[in-house]
Amino acid sequence: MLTRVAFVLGALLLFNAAYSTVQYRNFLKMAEKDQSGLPIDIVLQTLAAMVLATWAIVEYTAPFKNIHGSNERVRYDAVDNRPIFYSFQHRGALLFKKQ
Amino acid sequence: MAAPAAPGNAGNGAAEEVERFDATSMRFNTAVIGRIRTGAAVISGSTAGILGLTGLYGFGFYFVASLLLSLLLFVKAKRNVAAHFSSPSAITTDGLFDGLSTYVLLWTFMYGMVHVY
Repeated sequence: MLTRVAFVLGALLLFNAAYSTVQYRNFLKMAEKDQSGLPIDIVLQTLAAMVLATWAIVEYTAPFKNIHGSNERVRYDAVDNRPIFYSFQHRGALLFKKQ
Repeated sequence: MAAPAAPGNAGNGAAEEVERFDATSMRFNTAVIGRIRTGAAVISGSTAGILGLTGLYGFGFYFVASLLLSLLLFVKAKRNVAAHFSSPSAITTDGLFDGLSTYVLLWTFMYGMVHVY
């Protein structure tokens, strides 16, 4: 839940930074200033939004599994258990039939 | 599947121990990393576009962002990479260029939206 909120917040911050950049460039055009580069607050907001959203993505996905040892262990007395070879049509039905 | 330990001398059995990994868990972890890399490429590509990076600066930014991602993956692996991956390169360089095309797509898209139009 926290990671979802963090991701939405990061995406909104990113969008807000993009919008601010567009407005800043429009202002530069209007004031007829020729200047490259962005104000430091927009740059910082963009980078912070990136870090937040990336963190949210990393933590939102499922946790890593341990690769040492199996998660579904077979007990020793079940090692030679093969359910697919079970047979129920054998001599027992005749031998132990009720007379 | 619990495989029996490799037979070795009783004296130095540990030295001849064969490393065994759970293939299902390894595939799972690789798939998780792939999904994360794609998402991170989308985010860092948008950032590069908004910042108005061009040329080699943009590509350099991708590798800086990948460095940050490796750090975050290290934290996600609970600072114990060996328990979750057969090699440390899994969180640093493996699949590094898989996200590059996604990155360039979002980079050029956001650059166009913000700085050109």
